[in-house]
Amino acid sequence: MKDESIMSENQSVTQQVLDFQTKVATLRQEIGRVIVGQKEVVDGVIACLLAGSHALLEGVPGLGKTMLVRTLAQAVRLDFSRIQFTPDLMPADIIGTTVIDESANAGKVFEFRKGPIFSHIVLADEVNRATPKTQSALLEAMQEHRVTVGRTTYTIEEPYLVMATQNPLEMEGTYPLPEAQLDRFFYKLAVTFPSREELHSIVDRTTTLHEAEVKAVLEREEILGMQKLVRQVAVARHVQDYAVRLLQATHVQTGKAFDKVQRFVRTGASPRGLQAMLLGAKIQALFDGRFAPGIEDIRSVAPLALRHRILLNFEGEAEGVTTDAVIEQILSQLPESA
Amino acid sequence: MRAARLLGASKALGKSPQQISLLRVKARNAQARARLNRLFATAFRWAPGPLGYAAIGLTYVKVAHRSDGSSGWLWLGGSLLLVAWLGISARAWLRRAGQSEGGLLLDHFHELKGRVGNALSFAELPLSERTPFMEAAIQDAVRVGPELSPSLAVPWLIPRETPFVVVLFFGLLGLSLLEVRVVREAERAAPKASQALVLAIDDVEYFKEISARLAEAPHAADVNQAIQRFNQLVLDIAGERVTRDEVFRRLDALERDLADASDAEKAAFEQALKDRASELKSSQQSRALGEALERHDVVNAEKELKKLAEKVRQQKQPLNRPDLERLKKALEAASQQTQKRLERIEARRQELLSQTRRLLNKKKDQKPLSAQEAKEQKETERKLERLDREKREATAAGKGLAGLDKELAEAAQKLMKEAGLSAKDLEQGAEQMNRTAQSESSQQEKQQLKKRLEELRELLRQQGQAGKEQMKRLLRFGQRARGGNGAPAEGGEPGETNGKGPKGPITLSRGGPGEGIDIPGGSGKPDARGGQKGQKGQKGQKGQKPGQGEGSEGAEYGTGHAGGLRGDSTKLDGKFKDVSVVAADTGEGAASAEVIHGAAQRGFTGRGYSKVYTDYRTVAESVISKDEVPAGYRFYIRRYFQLIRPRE
Repeated sequence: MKDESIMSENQSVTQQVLDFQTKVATLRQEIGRVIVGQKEVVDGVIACLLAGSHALLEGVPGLGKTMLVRTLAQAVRLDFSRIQFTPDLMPADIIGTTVIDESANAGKVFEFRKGPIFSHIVLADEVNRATPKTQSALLEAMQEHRVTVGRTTYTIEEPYLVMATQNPLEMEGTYPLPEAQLDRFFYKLAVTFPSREELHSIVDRTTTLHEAEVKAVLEREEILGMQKLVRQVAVARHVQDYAVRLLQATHVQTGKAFDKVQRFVRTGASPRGLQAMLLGAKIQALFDGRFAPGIEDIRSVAPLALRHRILLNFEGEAEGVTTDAVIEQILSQLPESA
Repeated sequence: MRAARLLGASKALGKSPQQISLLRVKARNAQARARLNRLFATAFRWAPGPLGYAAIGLTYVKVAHRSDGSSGWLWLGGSLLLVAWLGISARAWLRRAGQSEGGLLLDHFHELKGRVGNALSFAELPLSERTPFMEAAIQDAVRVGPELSPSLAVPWLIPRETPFVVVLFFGLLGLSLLEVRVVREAERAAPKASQALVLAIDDVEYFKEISARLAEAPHAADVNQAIQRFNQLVLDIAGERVTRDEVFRRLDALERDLADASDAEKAAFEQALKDRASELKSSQQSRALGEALERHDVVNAEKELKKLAEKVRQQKQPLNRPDLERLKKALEAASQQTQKRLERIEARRQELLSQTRRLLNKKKDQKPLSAQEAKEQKETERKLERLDREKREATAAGKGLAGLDKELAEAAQKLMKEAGLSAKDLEQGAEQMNRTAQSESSQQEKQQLKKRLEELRELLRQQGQAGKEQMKRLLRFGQRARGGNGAPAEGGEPGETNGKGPKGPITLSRGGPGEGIDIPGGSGKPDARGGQKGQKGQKGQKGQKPGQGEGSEGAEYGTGHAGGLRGDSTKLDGKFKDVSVVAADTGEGAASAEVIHGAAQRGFTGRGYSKVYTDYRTVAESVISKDEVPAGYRFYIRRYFQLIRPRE
């Protein structure tokens, strides 16, 4: 009897995982109609969506960051808004503002007009160009999924995904994101330059009459269901332990810090990094049709989840050491079992 | 494809308990292999340490020949290294890289992305705590279980250091089999003492000869040991490895060990034998035995005792009863000699003691002793002392013959009742006698050795007094005795002669104080018999020292010669023919002269000379032993003979 119930549960789980895989595959396919290559970035963005968190995309201009986010928004039938961050952008411009509404019946009343932040998917384009004041306006929305204006708190409807982009080259007149805000991004995705083949495809698609049409393949409820499924995935103790040790290894204070950590790291990743790694690994396992993540999954998502959470010291900055290099050393030297 | 796999996982449900066991077994297998690989890797990585140390240590031991306690530190260091190596290896074996290690290794090799590891981890949880996802994960892993291969996942690894370690190991093995040739130089082994005693080569050789002679014959164990010590001492002196003090110290020790029987005790022993002899002589049957004992001839006494035992045992011609009675009495009396003597001494002692007591009491009563009484007291005390000494000696002698006494007493007891048993006792008595004889023989050997020790001691003493000059002279003498050209002694060339004849014989002569002694045949021809009797005036002018004859004036003893010497004494290449000459009776005691034809080219050895030397020396020793020579001169006589001894 018990076996039967287990079997039915198992079949249900298997089915859910199959559905998950199918939906993700469909979503990838739709995004792929517009976005050429960038598999890791696409998967990262999808993972952020399914984890119910946010993504920071970094890359030089013209690599399709904005296009990717817009395409994703089209493919998932969710509200989408884009905010172009500029130095003169004010918090009210993104949160919304209270205006006097004159109506025949009620007379003049103050009414809160929601800003673009209240969409399901928010594209914060060139987020580092806004002032810290405006940037910090995103903080509460990103973490709490709600916005407080005056005495009123407005909840943002789930799913909520902020995707910020920033340009690593043009640093003049920019305001680098504070650590607290960076920590709120689930992944930091590096948008790389396309390959030769990919460039051919890009040119083919964008310089002809061909116009890709993206259909919405996922409903809001489906996304919420997928988010729930992700959290049901179990993590084995040794895998979790590996993630914990990996996170600890990013800290100088821990006894056996690795060479690069010892020399170049000022502050290691926060526990949010650990959460990100584990959720990311679960999503990876589901992408792959597995029921539990392995250490390899942790290793594959670790750079995405930790690179923006590790702060380098002056020496590291001066020597041009990247956090990716630090993470790479940790991954290569950290034993899988202890 | 993925869907099919997932569906397959769900179908695998129900088989999980067995399948998960299979997974566990394979994971354990993989883990064990990984641990063994780690063990080998660690052991080989660290093996060069102890192996290298062992190689260096072994080389040191072999080359420096340190097989004694000084190599203890090497062993200690080696042991510590070995223990450290074993500890490191054991740690590598015992260190577990987590329980999931086996599963992870299988996952890696089969590219299962953690399926096996996760499944094993989830399977550890109780069923109630497992979520559907966990169950699904287990089933997913179970499905691939049969395909897992621990041997492929964890192949045996040959440590990188293996060739080096193998070479080192075989090198060490070879080194252990290698034998380094040792050139043992005993002389070099013991460095010369800075204040070492130096003896003339001649003396050293003399003592070496003696020690070699002593060592040749079989001896009792204790005598052998003493001889070995004496030999070692001689070798050490020859090698100049001992100081004068050290030599005396060792001589003392040797003499102490040898001096177990004093002369007095020896005399007491002889007296005890005599006592027994007189008793035994009273019976016809044991007379021969008694006589042998009286002569101190213990060897014959043993034979006689055996004969007596045989006689007692004889059934055909049994002894008659009166004979037996007499024999019994004689045996009893003989066996009780020590007791009787002690009783006699004790009785006399008691008598003297009572006399002393009487005189002492008188003294105590404040009565002055007369001169006669004082003398008497002193006399009594002396007698008491002598008696005490006698008692001690008698006891010691009695101890030496206690075994014999016991056997004689038992033989006497059984003689009348059981002749066989009595004979057995007599035989045992003979054995005791044999032991006594051996002990006697051992004592003689000891005496012999003691004599040599005394000689050496006296030589050293004399050398110490005479100083370096004497040593120089001795060295020269030694060189010449070997046919070398020693520097001429003071007082002229020894052996120089005015004779102008053919190379003739050497005539040994005894020099007199200023006058030549008549040496019959002293100037005779080689084949002359008798020769002319030397005339006093002819033989020499009055010399200042003995031995100075007409021919030349030697400054020392033995450097002169008689007038009749022919030939060149320094070129002794004469004929090799010994001629004995009977000397005429001068009426002044035994005299003989022997002419030795042509001593050897080298030195003055020769068969004839040896014979003459032995004869003279025997006489000299005999004279010395009879105390006819004052003690102070004995050394010179012995030394003289020692120096003129025939050499090889």
